Amino acid sequence: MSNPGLSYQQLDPVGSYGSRPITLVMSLGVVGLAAGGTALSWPVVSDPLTAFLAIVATAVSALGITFWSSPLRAPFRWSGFVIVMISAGLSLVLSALSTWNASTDLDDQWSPITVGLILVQLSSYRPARELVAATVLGGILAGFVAVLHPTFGSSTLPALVRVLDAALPLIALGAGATAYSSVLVRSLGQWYAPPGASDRSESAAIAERIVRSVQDDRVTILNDTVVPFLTGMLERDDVTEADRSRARSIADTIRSAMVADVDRSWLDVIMDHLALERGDATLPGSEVVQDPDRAASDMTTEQRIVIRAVVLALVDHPGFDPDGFAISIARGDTAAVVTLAAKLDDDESITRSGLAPYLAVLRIAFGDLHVAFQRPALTLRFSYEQK
Amino acid sequence: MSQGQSQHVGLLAVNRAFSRFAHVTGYVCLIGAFCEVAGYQAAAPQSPIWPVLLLLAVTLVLLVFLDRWRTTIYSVLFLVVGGLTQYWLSFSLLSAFSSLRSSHTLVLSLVTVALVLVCGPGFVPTSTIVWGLIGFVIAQAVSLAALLSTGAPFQLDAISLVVVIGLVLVESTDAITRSRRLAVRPELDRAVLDEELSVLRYRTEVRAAALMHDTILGHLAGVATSPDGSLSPRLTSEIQRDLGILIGEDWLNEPAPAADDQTRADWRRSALMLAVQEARDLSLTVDVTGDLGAIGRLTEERDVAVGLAAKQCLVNVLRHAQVARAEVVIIGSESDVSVMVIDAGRGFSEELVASDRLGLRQSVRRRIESVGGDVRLWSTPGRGTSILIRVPADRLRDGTDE
Repeated sequence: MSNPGLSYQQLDPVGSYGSRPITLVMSLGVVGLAAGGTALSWPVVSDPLTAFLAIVATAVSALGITFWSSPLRAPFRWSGFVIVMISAGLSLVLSALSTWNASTDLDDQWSPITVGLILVQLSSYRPARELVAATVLGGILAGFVAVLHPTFGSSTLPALVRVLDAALPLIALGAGATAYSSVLVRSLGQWYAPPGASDRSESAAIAERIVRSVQDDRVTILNDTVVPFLTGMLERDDVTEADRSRARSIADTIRSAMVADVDRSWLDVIMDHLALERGDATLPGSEVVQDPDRAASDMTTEQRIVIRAVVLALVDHPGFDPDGFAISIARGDTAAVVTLAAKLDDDESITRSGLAPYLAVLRIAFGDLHVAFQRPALTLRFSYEQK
Repeated sequence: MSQGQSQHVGLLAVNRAFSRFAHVTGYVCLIGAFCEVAGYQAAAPQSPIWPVLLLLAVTLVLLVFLDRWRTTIYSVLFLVVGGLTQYWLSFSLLSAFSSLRSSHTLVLSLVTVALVLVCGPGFVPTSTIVWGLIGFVIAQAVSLAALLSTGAPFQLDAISLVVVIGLVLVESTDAITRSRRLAVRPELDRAVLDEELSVLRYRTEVRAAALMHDTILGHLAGVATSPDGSLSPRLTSEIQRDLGILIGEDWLNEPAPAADDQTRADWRRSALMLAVQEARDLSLTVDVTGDLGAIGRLTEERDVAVGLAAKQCLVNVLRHAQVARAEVVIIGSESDVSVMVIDAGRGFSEELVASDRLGLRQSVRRRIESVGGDVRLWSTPGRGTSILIRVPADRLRDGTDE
């Protein structure tokens, strides 16, 4: 699959969450490089204030990436990307301005490298086509600034070399970043891709077991009451008032069971199966689900999978308290709002805890996740389009 | 994807992507170096710089080979030829341009960056770091040799230093955090599998409940309304048939794939036609109009679901509408097949139907929803009822699959 409009983060929120430590390390490195590069080129700096502002602009870009790449703010938005790149472009211009009145040729400039590294950081969060555009625009800007620089005409170096020196680091790193994003998007596909061919035989066997189990359940119910009654009726071939009354009673019992079954949503089933599967009576069941309008049925498959994974992650958390768990879904005008409350005894902040990758996936699947954690109360609120 | 499998797929994809990042960056560095050296040669035509261009071309060709077939031999060859290129490049430019001796310029770092990045990525982090350091050491050693040969003063190659430090930091961070982030993926894989099985179980239970409703509850209602004495022959025969099926056969298995789609496309053998026939046997007059051939564009599963749902609608007409006539209209569009069951009976308000009446909810609405369709109902007390059953078509009009 190749879709230049998608980012690695959208396709694999967990994988891109894994890139975050590298993102943070690179943010520090980029700011350090800007500061160190300015110190090394201090002899040719003619305007210290502008040089300082260039470092600040680089720091703003690095902070922007750190802020918007948080799992609690996923996906990394277009607006964030634009702000980061404008700030990076500004650092490039300010850095050149800071040496505008230099009397000698410039040494290696740091700003094209930091802008290139910023593009590398963004490769986990933004699509390849945006990275290409930013690389081309950044390369042109770097070359343009080099040509305008007062030392350009007086340099002993060839003009082509001066322009390439200014633009190449940015273009090389930007092209690499684009390739990185593009290969990941092509390789991965959706994170919840349907089972591959190798799993089909296994799935077929599981499907057969499920069908057999459901049928056995139904036949057991029938054998208890319905079969003896109807078989007896056929043998006697004589209907009495007692038979009519018994038929109504059995029908009412079956109907009540079926009505209860019809009213259960997939979310109820998840909770009940969880307690059953773990064999732990203290775990919450479907009684903690409040969904009076049956809005859960409007969620997409992707959203259901994410909720399932989040519920399991919460229940498996060492500090999970079964008593504080509740899920409520309320229909609104256009969107249904889910509120998931849990009690967690956790010393870590939520963004550093084992739950963080799940929150990243939740953000991708629902888009408007709000997280509140005041130990021990964790509240997750998000919405989805209702049908 | 099975549990654990997708984490390997993800890891391989990231390794492949990082390798691509390194190679593309390497390509740009080497091509950029080629252009810069060409620029220097043009500025100093009398200096013999052009052999560097040949060496750069060979290095580029080796990168192409390394990009396609990543083997140790090509990696070693790349380092050797790249090292030679770096030496000759530094020596030629420092000899020809005295201004380069007083300040370090990018062109002296471009080949070094390629040597640091290209050989390692795609394997485990430690291997990437080791290959990167080897490339860095070779490049620095030959650059130093070139400086000594030309008598140029030492200049710090900050760009290469930044690249190699960056590589070590990124790869170390990757190695340290890898196990923690990989732990999450199997949980998501498991959720995907659980959801698939849950959907399968749900659909199986819907089918079971609908069949129970159509058979057992119907027979019990029949017994409850039978007069004293013998059961009617029709009820006796239906009970015998259904008990035999429900107890003795795999009645919940999905219908086998159609052996002959063309035959099933024949309206007269569709489940809907059987439903109409059964309703007619119960003394209901059913007029069928519309695009009868559209039914042949459904898979057997949807055909059966539509037939059974329509049968329940017709049974409801008989039981509740207080009329003896109904109309079934079949409408085929490019993407859907719709069946409308219309009667001019007494009508009803869906909200007022008792919550324990399952016919419409279970046998019609949920059954159709479970095969990807939907049901719409228009009914006004005293003015009749129309139920529209719509399911996606599985074949186009020309018979090709959707």
